[in-house]
Amino acid sequence: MDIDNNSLNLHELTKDNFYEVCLLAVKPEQQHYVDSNAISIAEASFSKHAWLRGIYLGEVAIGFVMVDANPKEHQYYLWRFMIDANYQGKGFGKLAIQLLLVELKNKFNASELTTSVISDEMGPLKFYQSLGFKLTDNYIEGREPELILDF
Amino acid sequence: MVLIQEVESNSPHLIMLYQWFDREWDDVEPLASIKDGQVIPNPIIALKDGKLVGGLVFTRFLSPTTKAQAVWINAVFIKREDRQQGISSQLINHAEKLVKEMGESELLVFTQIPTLYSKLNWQVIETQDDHFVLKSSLVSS
Repeated sequence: MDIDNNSLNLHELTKDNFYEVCLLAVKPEQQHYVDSNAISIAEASFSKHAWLRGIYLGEVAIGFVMVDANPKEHQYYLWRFMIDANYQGKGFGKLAIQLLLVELKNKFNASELTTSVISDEMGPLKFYQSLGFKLTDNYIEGREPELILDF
Repeated sequence: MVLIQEVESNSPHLIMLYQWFDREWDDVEPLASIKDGQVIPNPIIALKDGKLVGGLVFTRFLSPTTKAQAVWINAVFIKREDRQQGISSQLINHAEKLVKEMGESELLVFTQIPTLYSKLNWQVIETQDDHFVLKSSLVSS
């Protein structure tokens, strides 16, 4: 298949590309919103349901996404999501989430995705709401408001 | 009761459908039945109790995978008050059957709402700026 070089796509993580994904980072002021990709990948190795992908622009790694995917319970939780500081503000985040929804639909026939956010002024709540996520009345770990998207 | 049907390009329903398209999008390609010497499939409309509530039209354009002329869904529109009832899915399903019967090798769409298509088992081919190109699995198989 002849893919446009500026096409956004999700790649499986392998021994050949995990390191470049670990080098990605959000802006310094965003670092308390999300763990580093290295921590996330390490954490995934202890989880039964972790589903990880690198977010690529053409052949360039620009972000990372990790979902807690539990098809038996039909539960899909967006666990980590980040776009590298150098690629933020260009609409790639929104596109990447949409690509993620397509993959979750194709692979698991998922129709619902939940997530949670740290709710302060500069946090990502508005970003998720712009994608159609709705706040529930639940809090994850007692403090992070939960969001849900039907698709 | 929603009725999905193909219509010829002289159907009076298409005048209203194109008015809706023009309000929703800039630069909607005018209705045509032939492009570059190849037939464009007929539009498909949705009628509810005999009244138009939405429709789907096709065009032809190069396929990013085969580089040959392919059929594309050019626009799908449902009236605001008739959304959330699965009518667009019915239109897209009908489009897939129609295009498959014509013996076409691909049906593509350029859209900002990929999940509308992925829930019908379409596959993403690529992104272009803030749009997605998807391909029908039914027509390709």
